[in-house]
Amino acid sequence: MSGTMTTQNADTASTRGGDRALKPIWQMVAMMKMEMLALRRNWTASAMNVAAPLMIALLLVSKYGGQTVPGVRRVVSVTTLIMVFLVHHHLTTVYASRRQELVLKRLRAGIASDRTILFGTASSTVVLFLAQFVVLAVYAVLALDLPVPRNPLVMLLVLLLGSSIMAAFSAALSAITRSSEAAMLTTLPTVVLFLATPGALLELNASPNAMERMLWFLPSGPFTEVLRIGWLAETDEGRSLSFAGTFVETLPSFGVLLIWLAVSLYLARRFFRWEPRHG
Amino acid sequence: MTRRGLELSPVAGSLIAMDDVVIEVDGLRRSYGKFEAVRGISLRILRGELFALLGTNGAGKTTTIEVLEGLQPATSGRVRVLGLDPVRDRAAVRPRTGVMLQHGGFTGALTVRETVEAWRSLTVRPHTVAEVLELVDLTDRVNVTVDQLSGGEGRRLELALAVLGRPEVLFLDEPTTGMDPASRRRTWEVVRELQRGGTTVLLTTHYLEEAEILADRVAIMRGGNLVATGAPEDIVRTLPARITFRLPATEVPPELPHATRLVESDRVTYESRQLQGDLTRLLEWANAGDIQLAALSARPATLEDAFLDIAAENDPTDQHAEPEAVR
Repeated sequence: MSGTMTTQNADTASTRGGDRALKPIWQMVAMMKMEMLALRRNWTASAMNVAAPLMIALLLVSKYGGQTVPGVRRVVSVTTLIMVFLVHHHLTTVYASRRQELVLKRLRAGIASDRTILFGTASSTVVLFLAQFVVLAVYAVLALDLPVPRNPLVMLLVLLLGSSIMAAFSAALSAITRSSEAAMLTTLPTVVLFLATPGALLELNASPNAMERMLWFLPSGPFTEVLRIGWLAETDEGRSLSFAGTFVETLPSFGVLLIWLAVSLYLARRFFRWEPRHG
Repeated sequence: MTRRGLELSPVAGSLIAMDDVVIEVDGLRRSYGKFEAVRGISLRILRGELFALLGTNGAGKTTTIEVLEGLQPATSGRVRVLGLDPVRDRAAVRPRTGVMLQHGGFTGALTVRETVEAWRSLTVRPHTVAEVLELVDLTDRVNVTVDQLSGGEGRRLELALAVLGRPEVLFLDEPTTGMDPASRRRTWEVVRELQRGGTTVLLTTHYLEEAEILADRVAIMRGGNLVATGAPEDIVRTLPARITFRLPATEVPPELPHATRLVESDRVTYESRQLQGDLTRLLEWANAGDIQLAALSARPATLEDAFLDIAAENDPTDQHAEPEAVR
């Protein structure tokens, strides 16, 4: 064992810039691997949080074969469902348990920055969500004969933006969540808020007009609208849009989502806890 | 083992080149709301030194070490590690330090190998998995999940992660708490080995034996203050030796010229500043009166005496001392 235990001096420390461990992206990959392994070991969590939403999603969309507009609306609605359960509810439990296990504290004593740790811990759930969306979209196009998405770019953007908002709310709520059991309760209001939005679990045009217009401003309103417009290249009223038109038409939605992002990041920054509360 | 026997006086400290001061603390204070856990401490730790922070629970050891690790900001005062601010210059300091927290920090479902692999990706120029597990004697536990490890094995895994990046400065917060004697000895060997390689080590402990065996210098904390700093033998030297024996209550033990006397029923204790002289006088008295001194013992002070003397003295501030762990 001797000989291996030599100390680095300051000169060599500064010339090691090329080391992968110093790059935030590789730090995040390492944390993602850790989370994926933990998920693989914890079958109950995997089944509940990963498999079940996708199964339900596939079941819920299956009767919409060949029905372009209702089909895409339904796919978008179950996508929101998956996102809320995975990137919001499940991620809240992940942040809370990593805090209680002092994994977050240990990571903070290492070379990764706070931001990298928060992103890295969230990355596995976000990747799982995106993968599930791809499965769902492929199923919709190949098995249900729905059209191929017209503007995948705005869709990807909104999936990432929506995930970021969900993740930031998770970080904030994890502060008052002590266990995965507690998360059922602490995320209940936000889960309801995110799902009880027209386009999410509420059908479009099912609520009184004024109320629907108000509810649209909840995060899932603009989120689902961008997905629908990106997929179909037409507005909810049935007006066709050019490729460029889909960008213009989704601008207000992105504006509202950016405000939500700012709010959720503020809350995360204000409330997130790195260590368990004592006593 | 190297004992540097450094001088305690600040004059000697100022003669030391600044490059050699690896940890510098000036007037550090750290409060949680109204509670002040650390109340203005100052210390310097030199390159290659092994420094032990001693104290009872709630004395402020963990708070101090966590401020140095950069996990908590100082409320006031100045803290430098390798000449850098551990919070502000985090990115520059962390690749050169290793940290072993007081508790855990693992995802229990991962195996030992997976845990070390994951941390290797988060460490600059790390040891291999085999190297580091060999070092802490966990090679045969490589495929066991972390939550199946015993307390001592878990602590050794944490030690492995702390030394994974060949740190210049190593922080160990109660590294051997919960370890069996074999694990403890192994940990001491690892720490000594690192020190020989030039690593500066700051550890907290409430095992006096550990501090006495390992440390070049110790500091004793009480109620958020440093109450004594120096080489263990220097701290001990300031304390009186002890003479104890049992005596029937009918006899009155004599006054000794360099000692204070304490009688508790049949148990007599002298604290002597001049052991040889006082002991001679005592034995002469006993022989002259043909008195039997049962269970007679005479010994110089130990670090434990120093600790009990200094740290466990009744201190009003201890009453609302918070648990040391985390807030």
